[in-house]
Parts: sequence; C-alpha cells; structure tokens
Amino acid sequence: MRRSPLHVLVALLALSPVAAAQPQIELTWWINPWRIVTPDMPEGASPTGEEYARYMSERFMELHPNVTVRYELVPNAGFGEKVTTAIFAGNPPDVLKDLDWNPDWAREGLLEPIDTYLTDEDREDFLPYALAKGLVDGQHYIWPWNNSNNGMGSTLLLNTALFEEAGVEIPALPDRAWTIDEFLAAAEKLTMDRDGDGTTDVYAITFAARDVENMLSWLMRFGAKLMNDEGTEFVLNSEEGVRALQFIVDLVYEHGYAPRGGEALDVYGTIENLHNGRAAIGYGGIYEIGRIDRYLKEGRMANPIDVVIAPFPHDPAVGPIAYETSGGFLVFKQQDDYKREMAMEFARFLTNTENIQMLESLLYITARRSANAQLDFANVADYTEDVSTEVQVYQSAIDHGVPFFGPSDLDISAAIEHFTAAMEAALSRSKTPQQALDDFVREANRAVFGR
Amino acid sequence: MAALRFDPFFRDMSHPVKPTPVGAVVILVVLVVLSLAAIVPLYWMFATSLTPSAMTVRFPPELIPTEPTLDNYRAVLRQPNFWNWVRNSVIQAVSVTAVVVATASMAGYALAKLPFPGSRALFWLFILSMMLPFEAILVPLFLVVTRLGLVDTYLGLLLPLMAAPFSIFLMKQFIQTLPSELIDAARVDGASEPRIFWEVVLPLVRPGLAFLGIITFVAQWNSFVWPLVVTRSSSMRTLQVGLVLIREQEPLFFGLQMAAAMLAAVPVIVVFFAFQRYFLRGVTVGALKG
Amino acid sequence: MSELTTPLGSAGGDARPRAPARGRGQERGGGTRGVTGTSRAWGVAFVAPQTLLFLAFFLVPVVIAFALAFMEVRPTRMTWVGLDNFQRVLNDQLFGRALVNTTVFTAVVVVFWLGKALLVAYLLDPMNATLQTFFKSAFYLPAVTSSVIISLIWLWIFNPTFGLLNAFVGLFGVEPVAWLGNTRTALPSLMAMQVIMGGGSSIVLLSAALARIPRDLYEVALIDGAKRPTIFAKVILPLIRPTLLYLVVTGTINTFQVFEAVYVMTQGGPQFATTTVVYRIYQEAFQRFNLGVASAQAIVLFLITLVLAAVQFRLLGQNVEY
Repeated sequence: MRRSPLHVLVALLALSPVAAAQPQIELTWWINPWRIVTPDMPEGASPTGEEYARYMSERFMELHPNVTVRYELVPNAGFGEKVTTAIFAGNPPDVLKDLDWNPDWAREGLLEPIDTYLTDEDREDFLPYALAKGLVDGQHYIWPWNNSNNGMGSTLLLNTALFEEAGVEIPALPDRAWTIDEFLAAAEKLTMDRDGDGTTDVYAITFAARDVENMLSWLMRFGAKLMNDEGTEFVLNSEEGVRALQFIVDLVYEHGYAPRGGEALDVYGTIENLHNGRAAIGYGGIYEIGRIDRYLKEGRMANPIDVVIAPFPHDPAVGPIAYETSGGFLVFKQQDDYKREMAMEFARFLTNTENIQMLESLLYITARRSANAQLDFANVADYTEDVSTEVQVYQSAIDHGVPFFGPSDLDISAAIEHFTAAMEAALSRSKTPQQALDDFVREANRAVFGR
Repeated sequence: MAALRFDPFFRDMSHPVKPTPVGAVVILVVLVVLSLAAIVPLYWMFATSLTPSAMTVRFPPELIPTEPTLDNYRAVLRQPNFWNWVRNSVIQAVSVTAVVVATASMAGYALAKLPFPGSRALFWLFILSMMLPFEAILVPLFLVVTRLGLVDTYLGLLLPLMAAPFSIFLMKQFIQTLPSELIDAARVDGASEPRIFWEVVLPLVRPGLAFLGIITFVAQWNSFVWPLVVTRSSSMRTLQVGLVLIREQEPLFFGLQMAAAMLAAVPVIVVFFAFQRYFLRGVTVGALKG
Repeated sequence: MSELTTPLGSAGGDARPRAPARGRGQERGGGTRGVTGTSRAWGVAFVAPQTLLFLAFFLVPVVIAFALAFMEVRPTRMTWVGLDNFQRVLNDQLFGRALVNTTVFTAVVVVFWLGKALLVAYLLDPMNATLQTFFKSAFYLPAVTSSVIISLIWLWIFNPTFGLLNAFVGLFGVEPVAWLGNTRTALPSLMAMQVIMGGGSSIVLLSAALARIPRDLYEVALIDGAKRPTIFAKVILPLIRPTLLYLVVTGTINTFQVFEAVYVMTQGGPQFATTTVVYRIYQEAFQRFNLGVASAQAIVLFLITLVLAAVQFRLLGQNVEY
C-alpha cells in the first residue's frame, strides 16, 4: 500500500523551508534508558541512557524547527504503571517505547495505526516478526526498532577460562550449537570443588525463579509451550513441560550442577554468579558482554572475565529454540492532523535505516534488514577485541526465535506472578514439577481468561 | 524524677521499688542487648556505605570497613535525579509542615475556645476520620487527583497531605489546657480574635507547635505511599521513592543503596538529636487527659 | 509499619498520626466567656482551611470509595457492575491468602512488640533520668528512620549470599538461609524485623504512663508485703491500662496496613507468602489498574479494621476510665 498522496504532500511541506510557516507543536516522547553511545559523547564516557534521548530529540528538532520534542526518560521499573496512569489522566505521551505496552490500548482506540505510513520498502525491510509484534486486529501499531533483547532466553555466556580449567571444549563454530546431552556432560565437569573441602566452588550454571525469560526458555527445551497456538489457554503443564522442569530440578538437587537457593534469585543473581566466577555459564547476548565491560569501567567488578556466546542447548528431536522478540515505538491517538503527521514522522525518524543503526553501540541488532547488513560493531567494547564472531553466533541463535508469551495481541501480564510462584515452588521443592505447573496453568487461565 | 545522689548502678534512688545492684546489672544487660539489636542495623548501613563495591560482595563481610571510601556517595550524587528528589522531599516536608502547623493550630483554637454551632459535630467528624487508615482512601484519592489533572504535580502531592485531623486534635488538646483568664481578659479589652490567637494563644503553646512541627516534618520526610502513587516522572519523585528506584536499577550495588539511605536518614536523625527533648516530652502530652 | 514513622505509632508511611483512645468525654475548657457572634464567625473562619482540605481530600474520597467499589473503571468510562467486584474479591484466593498473612503478621508483631515495649519501660522505670533518656533515645532512633530505609537495610542484612545475618548464624555453624526466599522464613523474617526495629514510641508512652503512677500506691503495696509480680499485677497494670489499650488498638490498625516492607523487600513472594492486604490492593489498583476491584478490597479492609478495633475495645476496654 503506498502512502497516500496527501501524506506525501504534508511530509514534503514539513520538510520544506516553508517549515517556518508551519504551526509550532510539541511532541512528548517517553523512553526507558538505552545506553547508546551518541556521537557527541566524550571519549570513554559511560552512557546513562539520557544521551540517546536527548541526541535524537535535538537532531529531529534541527530538521523540524517548528517542532519541540520533549523526551522523558522513564526507568524500567514502574514503566507500565506510569504509562497507564497517564492514560487514565488523559494525557499519555505522543510517542512511546513499547517496553510494557498493552494490546488492549489499540482495541480501546488509544493508539494510532501506522499502516498508512508504511511504505512498500518499509514492509520489505522490517523483519516480519518485528512488524507482527504490533499487529492487533489487522492493523499495525508499532514502528519496529530493536530486534531481540539482551539475549535473555536465547543465548548463554560461557566463561572461557573456567571451561578451559574444567577441560571442556567450547561448542564449535559457526553457531556453537550443542545438545542437551552435551550440555549435561559439560556441566558435570564444570562443577568443581577446587580445594577438595567438600563444598562446590564453581557451579556450571544458575537457575533463578524470578528470571522469567530464561526459565521459560529452559522449560521449552523439549517442545513445551506456554500457550496453545490459538492463544486461548495455558498449556505449560504438558508432559514435555513437566519433563523440562524436572530436568532443571534434578540439575540442582540430583547432580548439584547448579546452586540451591535459586528460588530466591532473579536474573541479577545469575549475572552476579557469572561475574564473580561462581558459575561457569551465565545468560545473555552481546548486550551482556557490554555489561561486563561497563562494570569493569565503573570499578564494580574486580576481576575481568572472558566470555563467548553460545545458544541454549537443544533437544535434537525438537531443534534449537530462542526467544523471538523485538521492540519499537508506538504513537498515541492524536486529535490534530498535523501533530499526527509529525509524531509519525518522528517515529519513522527514529527507526529509519540510518538512525536505527545507533543500536550498534549497544551491541543490539536492529529490526531492519538494510541496517543489519551495515553493522560491523567496529566501535565496540574496549576489552573484547573481536566481537564479530559473537555477533554472528548471536544472530544465528535468534534466527530460531519463537514467540514465548503467546500471541502479541494478548495481555498475559496477570499470569506472570503465578509463573514465578510456580518456579519458586519447584526450585524449593515445595511442589513437584507436575504440581507446580498444574497450579500455574489453573491460576493463569483464571487470571487471564477468567475460567 | 532526678536522683538525689548519683547511684553507681544508675538507679533512681527515690523510687519505692528499687532493683538490687545485681538486678540493676541484669536490667542494664537486657536493655543493652535489646537496644543494640535495633541500633546495629543502622550502624551496618553506615559501615556498608563506606565499603568499596568489590568488598561488599565478599563473605563473611567485614564489620569495620578496612578501606573506607566515599565512592558510593559520589555514585549517589551522580544519579541523574538525585538532587531533584532531595528538592522535592524538602518542598514536601517544609510546606506541608508549615501549612499544617498554621491551619491546625487555628482550627484547634477554634474548636477549643470559639464554639460555634456545629463545632462539636465537626470535632467528632475529625476524630472519626482518624480511625480510618490512609490506605483505605488511597485509591479514590488517586482518582480524584487524577481527574483534577494534578497527577505528577506539586499540588497533587502536597494538598492531600495537608489535611491533618490528628494535628487538629493535638492542638486542641494543647490549647484546651490554657488558663481562661488571659483569653477572657483580652476579649474584654476588645482585642479581635485573630489578635488574641496571635498574641496570646500562640506564644503559650509554643512547645506544642514545636512538637507538631517536628513530628510532621519527620513524617513527611519519611512518607512513601502517597509520593509513590501520585508522582510519575523521575524528576518529581521524592527521596524515599528515589531510594527504591536506585535499588531497582542497581540491585547488586549495596554500597550505593546504603550511601543513598544514609543521605536520606541523616537529616532526620540530626533533627531528632537536636530536638530530642521535644520528642520525648511532647509525645506524652497528646495522650494526657484534656 | 506502625511504629516507624511518627512518634505516636501512626500510619503506614504517611503523615496521619493517630489519636489516643482517651479524650472522648471532652470537657470544655475555660476561656469561652464573652464569646460573641463575631467570635463565632472567627471560629468558622479559623476552622475553614482544614475543613476544606478535609472535605476535598478525605470526605469526598471516602464517599467515592463506596461508589467505586460497585463500578468497573476503565480509562474512558466507568460502568456500574453492582456486587461483581465484591464477588471477585471474596472468590479471590490470593486476597484470602493476603488476609491470612496479614492477620498472622499483625497478631505476632503486636504481641511481641508491645511485650518488648512494656518490658523495656518496666525495666527503665526504676532507673535514673540520665539512663532513661539515653535508652529512650536509643530505642527511639529507629522510629525516626523511614520504613523504606529500614527495609533496604534489612534487605541487605537478609541477603542470602553476602548478608550480615547469614554471617552471624554461620558463627554457630548454621548453613546460609535464604531468609526472604524461603516460604517458611519469609514472613517470620519480616515480623522479626518489625519487632526489633519498632516499639520506640510505645516505650516512651509506656514510660510516661509508668512515671505517672503515684508513689504512695507502691508504698502501700510494699507495706502490705507485696512482691514484684503482685505489684505489677495489682498496681501497675490497672493504671497503665488506658495506654496499653490505646497502643494495642492503634498498633493493630497500623500493623494491619503493612506495605513498605513488602513492596521494597519481597514483592509479595515467595509464592505469595508475604502478600499482604494493602500490597494486594496496591497491585490491583496501580499495577493492573482495576480501580473498582481495588476499591472493593479497600472497603473489605476498612470493615475488618473496624471490627478489630471494636473487638479490642470490648475485650480490653472494660473498667478503663477515660
């Protein structure tokens, strides 16, 4: 579908020198912190997330002098609450990062559909599942921006020094794929009691009950799914799901390859264990390598560790599974036509081929094919010399991405606390995997579907 | 009651039921143990705030920092909105205290000395409202503030906190105990009520005003639920909410969390020590019979 | 988190201190002679600011609360749903769980913290002024520290890997415990924290009440040959009963509202072991934005605290002179 001539005309007008005659408008933009290094930052400085928002706002305002972009950096915690409150108060932002969005907003008429603003090239260039994320009742509402996340649910980080010490081979390139059996064999060796005092000094990996993405990723190893294909009920307590959860529990209690107490941990607990060498394997993708670099720079990590990326191990009968997700920007309903044009223009500006590549400094892949082709990650983390291999491994891993949380137009947030409770129960052995998952499915169905 | 002579075991020698010396020692031990349990955590906050990050992730932890550092404090001050949070907390504490002290003393005086039709009923209404916990009206209050467009604004934050039935009650108690003669005399002299209030009543209840001011200030500085709910932008948050935000963003950075906690706790602790006697004495006045 | 915000054991985190139970039979003090119509007008004027604030930010919300509970509230509209919300609340297992947790929490905390306060006040009473001031200050110090700060400190102390508590129990050969991560220890840990850090203002109040006991009553009892336990039961207890009643009632109401600790430390987990009523309301209202259901929950909470207060008055309030 081509842009209508009217849109083209208005866009041309907006960009023309006649812009000074255009009305003065203000756009509000809410985004969580993305620690992107902007060209105007001093050498070696550590981004806080504000620089990107400011930089993009200023660049857009240069192009459109009659537009003022007021950005608001919203912390991750409480992001959804803040947006919902604003909706209730009747003053949501104009452009919003979709960190915590609710598909019902589209159904309630709160969002602007973007379909008439997408060109044919856009539809070809944006990755299909990235576009599909914002698809509600046949219309798209999200301008895709980042492809995938920081690696949680898709890839693992392997501590090369500990692997070497344990005498375990890093899985082979080009994609470092490994099977569950190979993982088990490695885990046995990676669990080490160095001084022979009976207490394990190094574990193979950490499981954290509050770490939703990674735990769900493990549960899907043998083919289980959170929801059925239609997205009408939760089915995680299938035979494969129970088997996967049992597998994890056994890793902790039977084999001792993962530390006990995982019921009290969240993802930061797994990061901590990886960073201080207590676990040989951690979670995440290239962004997490960037975290190590950042912590070293800030003096928060005493001893550097060298990590490489590998996908989650897979079951040969099922094949590799990664977490398919993406993110982007949505535009709230506008009363004023010109303002709508400008808001869309801004969202397009953020996600055009040139600007979308700013994600590179964060070691993220973009949602545009044309942009991804140009990424080389040359200007990246100081201490990791050659990240390009890791990038390739990561990209091949997320090629096997599948949606984890059901259809994108369904809001299942009410079920998540029950999932965490089920993981806490299983990891503390206060329920068997079957019980934990049965209870979860029952509570989740009740919470989301009311039955 | 002051001791008539100094007792080595700290006993009040005029008390009819004195402990024996051994008893006194036991008492001292018990009191020390119980009070230590409450004080040690505060010390631990102090110690951790001075401990470098790399050392906090060590087990067992060191009780006295061997390499104290101010890095954590520097990191707190580098937090993007830290000074905004401080500013907001100061605004909240100071303005709410000022308004409450002024309006509650006025209302207390009116209820105590200026009866008008319905003042009795109004007083009982205030009393009844004290039985209702704040959390019970949190949701509708939020809705009211939202519909008024006051979410994430100073007015929205401050106005609801200024309604203070308990302060009215307190001031009424204080003023009620004042001798009537002075006030009656002033009235006979023809002084207007505002003048009586300002020149006769207020000076006499100064300790009560001080007490009210202090407890209101502390309560406002430490408040959390309402600021959490009504502020949304990072720059509008108060310090207590900011502490939790810091923790959510840096859950592993304990030195930073404790340094921030110190910065939030110290002003109030200083106020406490400066006005100690008001606290300890004033607490009981409100509970005395009218 | 009653004791930890203002001296008089007040609201969970906010500036609404509570009143003493006494003072019901207010006698009108002097100074009302010569009150004219002008004075009455001034009376109204003086009371006006607080009354307006009260109306707008208390009375109106209370009325709305009752209305909201019968509605479904969405961003763009509100629809009447009758008793639907209440039905949902009564059928909500998690809310029931929250009620149980909160009741257990309140019962244990109030008993122990009041017991500790009474013990300390009783022990302090025969000691001299310097010591009294010293210890009262020491016990009161945590009371001026905010609940948030105390929660953050204890979150660090309870840390399973590097926390102080596990270092301490490790000295006795005990294995590290996930205090807040274990369903059996999570709520007790929060309870212990409350008892240890709280009680400051209760101690001051009880101390003052003890100090007001006329000395001759002691003399008389001693002459009759009474021993300490008898003196406590016959002389002390009856006279501090009003204060105790006040502390029990306000303490119960306040402790029932526990929120900060859960919000900061456990977010209701593990497996909902520390989910409390106010936290549930908060989640319903400000995370899921079901304002109607949350209002219904708040009404239930209010009714419960009302019943609790009434019961306590009944049971403990006999023979108490106001």
